[in-house]
Amino acid sequence: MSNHIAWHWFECDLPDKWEVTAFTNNAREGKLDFHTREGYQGQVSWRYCKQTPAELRIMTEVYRSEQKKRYPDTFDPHAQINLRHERIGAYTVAWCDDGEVCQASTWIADKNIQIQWLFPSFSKEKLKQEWTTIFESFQRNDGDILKWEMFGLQVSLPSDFILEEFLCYPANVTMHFVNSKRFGIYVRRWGLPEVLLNEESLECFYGTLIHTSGCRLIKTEPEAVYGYQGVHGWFEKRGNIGLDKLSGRWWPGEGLLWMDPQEKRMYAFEQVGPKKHKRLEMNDVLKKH
Amino acid sequence: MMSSKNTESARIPSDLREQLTCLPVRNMNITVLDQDDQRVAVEVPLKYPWFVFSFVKKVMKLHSTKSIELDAVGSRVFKMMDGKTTVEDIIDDVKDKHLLTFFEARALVLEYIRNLVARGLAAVVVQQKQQS
Repeated sequence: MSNHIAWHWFECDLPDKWEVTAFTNNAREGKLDFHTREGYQGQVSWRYCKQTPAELRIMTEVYRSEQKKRYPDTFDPHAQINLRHERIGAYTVAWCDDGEVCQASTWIADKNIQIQWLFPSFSKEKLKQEWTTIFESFQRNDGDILKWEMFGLQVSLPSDFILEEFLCYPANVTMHFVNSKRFGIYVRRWGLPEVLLNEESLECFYGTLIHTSGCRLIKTEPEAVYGYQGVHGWFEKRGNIGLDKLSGRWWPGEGLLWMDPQEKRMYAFEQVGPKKHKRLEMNDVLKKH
Repeated sequence: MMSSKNTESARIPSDLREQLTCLPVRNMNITVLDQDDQRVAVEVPLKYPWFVFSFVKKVMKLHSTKSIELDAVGSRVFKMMDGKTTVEDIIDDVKDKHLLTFFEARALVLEYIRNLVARGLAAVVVQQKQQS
């Protein structure tokens, strides 16, 4: 699995072993935290700005506040700070001394979004071997088709679909997208399939999943998905436009669940929504894992 | 995660590295009832408050032990709790066996250890930081 992420506004490659440990699902302002087993590696944040931000000035102020946190006893608020900076890819990268924070900032002008990275400890080796990968692989993610790649899920959807819910448990991730017509897409990924299945069949597991999601299972059929053993299921879910959660019509839903034994993962893809809404092709939505 | 109640080391490890070097140990008072490749069943002695006298226990037929059957992952984690294997080693084992990422395995293992500690099956020894 490549270490690539795509989230609000950007996509990039991450250094090996970096994992997302905290996320915000808010397009206007949010952040992602990254860790390895050695500890905290950095943070990327994005925020809406009305005007073009003075990147170096912001980075100087961030540097100053970080210094204040690190050295509360010796911090001098009036000390002159001269950040060294250079351009790598789309980013302006700024730092002062080894061991102190390093920052990188880029500005998506037509969307008024500033993306900023903060790394806890600068060293030239890290900049060259790890962070440059991030800066050089940066791509915008704000077109007609948006990518959502995190925790092993790789999804591409038209931009009118918003990520309504993102559930992350250990080895159990669900992304729920919905568009303005309340047409919903669910993409799921589980680890430890043998523990989850507990000697039950995939069909049985899928039936339980559908029931616990508040849906009515109509039928399931075994079906090979991407060459793996899988299940094709049809179900109904109560439509929930506005306050119609209890009395809305039943919307037809359809889903696929399959298990990749080499990867030891199970995946599911479901779509549910008003009858007239055109269904999406799974191959267009899910990048082949 | 914490170790025994009354010792100086009864504190929550503050950083990730410290957390990973902790040593989970089994409760020596528990009895392993059944052990195979997949599942472990254990019996834990129950402690009642002082005012529950022995004749009350007899009259009310209170159990003196409780049995717990661990699932496959819990059993594996429990088997590795020998006082020498660190949390990091257990995480690596679960990670490699189930092809998880490090932080997926960490979340799972820490949750299992927390449950085992809460049920009186294990304790966690926090190792002192080496003074430089």
